[in-house]
Order: sequence, then structure tokens, then C-alpha cells
Amino acid sequence: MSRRWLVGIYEKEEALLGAVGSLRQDGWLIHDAYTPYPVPGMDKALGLKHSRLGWVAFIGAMSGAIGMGLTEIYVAVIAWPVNIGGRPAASLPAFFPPVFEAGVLAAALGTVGALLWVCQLFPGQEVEIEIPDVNDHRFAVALDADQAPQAADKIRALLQRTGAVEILERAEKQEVAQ
Amino acid sequence: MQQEHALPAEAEQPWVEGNKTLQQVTRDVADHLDQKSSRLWWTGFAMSLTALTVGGCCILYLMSVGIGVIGKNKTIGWGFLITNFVFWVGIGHAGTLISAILYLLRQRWRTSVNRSAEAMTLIAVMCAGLFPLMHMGRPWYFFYLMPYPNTRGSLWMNFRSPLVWDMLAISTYFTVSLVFWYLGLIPDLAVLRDRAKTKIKKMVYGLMAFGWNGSSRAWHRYELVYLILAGLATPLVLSVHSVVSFDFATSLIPGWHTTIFPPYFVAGAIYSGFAMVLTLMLVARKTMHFEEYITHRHIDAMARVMMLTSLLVGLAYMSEFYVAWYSGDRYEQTHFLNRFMGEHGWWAWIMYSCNMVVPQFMWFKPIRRNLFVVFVISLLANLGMWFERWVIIVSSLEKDYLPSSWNVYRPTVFDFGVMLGSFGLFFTMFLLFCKFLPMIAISEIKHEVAHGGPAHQPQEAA
Repeated sequence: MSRRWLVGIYEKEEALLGAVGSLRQDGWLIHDAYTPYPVPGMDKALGLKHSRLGWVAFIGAMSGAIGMGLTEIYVAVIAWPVNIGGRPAASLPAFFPPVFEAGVLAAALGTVGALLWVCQLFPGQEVEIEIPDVNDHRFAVALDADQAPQAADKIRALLQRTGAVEILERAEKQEVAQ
Repeated sequence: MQQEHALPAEAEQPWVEGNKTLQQVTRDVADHLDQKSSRLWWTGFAMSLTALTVGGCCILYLMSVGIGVIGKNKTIGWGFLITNFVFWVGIGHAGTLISAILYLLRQRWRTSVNRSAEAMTLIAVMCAGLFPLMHMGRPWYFFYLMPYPNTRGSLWMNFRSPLVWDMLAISTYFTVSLVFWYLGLIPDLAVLRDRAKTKIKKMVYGLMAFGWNGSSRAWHRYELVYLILAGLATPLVLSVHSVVSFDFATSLIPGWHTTIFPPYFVAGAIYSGFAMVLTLMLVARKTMHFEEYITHRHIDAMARVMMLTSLLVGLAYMSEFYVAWYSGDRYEQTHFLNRFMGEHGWWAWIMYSCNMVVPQFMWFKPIRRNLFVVFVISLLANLGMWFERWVIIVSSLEKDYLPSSWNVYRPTVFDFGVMLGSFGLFFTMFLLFCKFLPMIAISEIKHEVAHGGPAHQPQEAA
């Protein structure tokens, strides 16, 4: 069965923050909130856990840097050592700039790649729930309408009470396509 | 909202003027993307495209005949092309400084200018990349610089070479800046997609917006990643021009082998970059009516950064002279005397006056607030910075250790042509950016408008 979303739309971020707070207090599961800019405090209001993307950056940086360091040592010491006036083949200080650059590059690409993957953002991706003006000036919250018996009516009432200016019902995308 | 820090009085004023509502911000930034371009835009575009075409023809000729067509000779192996390369890489630095370092330093004024400054960075690095490619003589062999197991031996590149570091630093810089810039664009592209009226625009912006819908779960991660990228780009700002300066500093040419080069180059890069940002922003705010977004206070802040970096550059210039004298090295001393007293002394005089003296006028507030004067100073700064690189490269090379091999660099029409082409490329790309993408970061400005100053809440009629 495809899911139905109930979307409450607000004019102000404070109203949305308040609504999210009361919805969660009443035990409703919130699918997501939608805002034109990152609203401070929204992650706490939604109870989002701290993102682990920082670890991706760390692992990316380490693997990029170590990978480049090993490549340099392989190239300059093992694969093709060149004797230049008896200088050591493993000239570590001169190997540092590429190590640094590779670390930064791998960290940046890895983190952004992970972000796009986790948020399912990629070219041609369709918007999950279409809500008018939510990227422009409105603030919205979406909930699963069938998460409990008679949930739709109760949620609707709560959304209205918290000052929603509009309440929309949206079906999941593939349902619309059929 | 709870204020985290007590801010000084001036900083508490909102950086965006005119008590904007969220809708107004979208309209102000995005409306002109739907309108037909002005005659001024077309004139600028035609001129830039012509310059680009001329440059393109020169490059084609240079590639088909060989780099003998430019003014290089046996003594002066680096001339116009490398000067332009360093010049453009330097220009790029302001964009990343604004987007990354000022973000970490919580300088809120960066919000109005970061998008276009970052675009400027990307375009400037593209322009810069052209020159070493051309300088190779056989640009189609550029992949010899890439480390990969190959059929040439396998003959690897020399990882100890500053030129290889340079290639790695600049390509990393370009990639990270591109990713950073695009990440910032995604929410704004979603705004454009939502308001697009034609089918093509809807499709293109839709493809580019990656399905962004303002989800708070996405924002939550997005903000962290933005911070991480700012943190990663910060050392890049400092490292890229340091690596460029290693190209010179690791050699044994008088005037080049100084340990002060990395910070000296970075300060100069930021100075010239801010000059270019000011040049572009002063024109853009006027022609595209962004006066309420890029205010006098923004210009003032950028002018102050220019002044500070000019002082750093001036300090580096003077320490160079001091060290040349103190070292007791005859070649160094001769070089620095020759630099401003020799037959080409006027190069150095342009450099010292434009980079050290002229920006000192910025100490005075009336001058920082006079947009025309700031514009002129920003142009002079770029002239001065071009000459700085020219002086470093050519005046160091033209008189080397052996007087019999002294020579003069005589730029040919192709030197100027390729340089004109790079300016053509720069302005063509920048004008296209202004036409098709939001010049101001819409979502960031909305956050600024909503949370910027006290008692400044968006009021919107339903």
C-alpha cells in the first residue's frame, strides 16, 4: 500500500518549530520538515541525531593521504629509484605536498558524495513530496497519515491548532504515476 | 532566538538593507534571470566573446607553430604566460577566502558576495590553467603529469618537483572549489526550478537541483558538510599559492630563492583577489540593482581586507630588500638594485606604487565609501599585482649570473593575444554565470534576513 502524507504548511519558522514540538510531544512520527533555509534548532526539535558525515571526511582524508604517500614511496623507492648525487630515494619532506593535496581532495569528494548518497540527491532525482513555495518562503512538516488508526484526523486537528495556514494531502510518487 | 555572542553595535545591524521578506529575496535575486538581457549585458558579452575568439586564434596558432611565436628566449624561459598564470591563480584566492575562511570566522557580510566570488575563483582558475598548458608547447602531452602506470617505461613523474605539486595543488583547488560552490547552489537551483516557467528551464534547473526539497534532514547534514568543506578549503587557500611560490622559491635565481615567498604570495593573492571581487561587485551591484544586498558596508569590509593584505605585501617587499642587503650576497644585492634602478625599473615602480602606496588611501573612511575611488583603486591593484609577477619572473631571469647571456623579453602579439583571450574567457564565463545562475546565495541571504539583526523578522502576507 502506498503511503499518504499529511503536510501542514506554516508562514513562519517559529510556528513550524512549535508545531514540530507539539506533534512530537503527542507521540506522532514526523516524516520530515521543509524549510527554505536551515532553521536553527530544527534538528533538535525533530530529534535528529548528530550526523556521522564527519567520520566520512576523516576516513576520506586519511585514505587519500596514506594512499598518495604509499604511491610516492612505491614510485620513488621501489618502482623507479633514481640516484641523484646520493640523496635518499625516500625524500619524505618533498613527498608531503602531494600527500596533503590528496588528503584534502579525497576528504572533500568523499564527504560530498556521502551527503548526496545519504540524502538521495542526484541529477534527475524527483522531489519526494511536492509542497508549493517551500523553497521560497513557507515552512512545512510532513507526517505519515496512516501511522495509527484514525491518525489522519487527529494529526489534521493538531496541525490546525498549531497554526497551519494550509493542510495538504499527498500520495507517494509511484501511486501518482500509475 | 537566543543570541550566542554579544556583538558590537555595528555588527548588529542587518547586512541586508530594506527589511526584506523571504519572497522579496527570491524575487530580487531570481527575477532578472527570467528577463531579457539588457543592452549593456549584450555589449559586454560581445566584447568578451571577441576577446576570447582572438585569444583562441592566438592559442591555435601557438599550438600549431610552437611556442617560438611568443617572446621567450634562451635566457628568459618564463615570461608572459607564467606571469598570467600566477596572476589568475592569485585572483582566484579571494573567492575561497570569502566562502571558507570568512565562514569559519563568522563574518556575516560574506553571505552577499560569496556566490559570485566563488564563481570568480572557478573561472580564474580555469584561465590560469590555460597558461601552463600553452607553455608546455605540446599541451596534448599534459597527461604525462598524472601519476598512473603507463606504457612509457613505466616512467613515473617526479613527486619531488614543485611543478608536479603545482599541478596537484591547482587541480585539487579547482575540484574542491567547484564542489563547494555547487553544494551552495543546490538549494538555490531548487528555488529556480520551482519558479521556472518554461519547460526547458524547468528541466535543466530540475536536473541540476538534484531533487532538493528543503528537507530538514537534508539541511541538518548539509550544514555539517558545508562546515567540513569550509574547513578543508581553508588550508587550500593557504597552500595553493604557497605551492605556486615553491616553483620560484626552490630555485637558485636571485630574487626567487627566498623563504618568505609562500606567505608573501598568499597575501598578494588575497590582495589581488579582493581587488577583482571589488571590481566585479561594484559593476554588478549597480547594473543588476543589488545595492541593498551588496551595501556600502560590504564594500567597506572588502576595502579593509585589501588594505590589510597590501600592508602584508608591503612588509614582504621591504623584507626582501633588507634580506638582500643583509645576506651580503652580491647577486642578490645587484638584483634588487637593478630591480628598481635598472633599465626596467618602471615595472617595479608600478608594482610598488600600486600595491603598497595606493591602498593606503583606504585608511580613510570617506575614500572607502566613495565607490568610484574604490573602483579605481581596485583596478590599479590588479595592474600592480600583474606587474609584481612580471617583475618577479622576468626581471629575475633577464640578468642571470653570466652577463654574456643577459637578454630582454620582447612580448610578441601572441603574448598579448593569449592574455587578451584569458580576459575574454573570464568575462564571458562571468557574464554567463550572471545570466543563468543566482549571483547571490538565496537561501543563505534568507537565513541572514530571518536571523540577522534583532527585531528583524520576516513579515509576509499570506
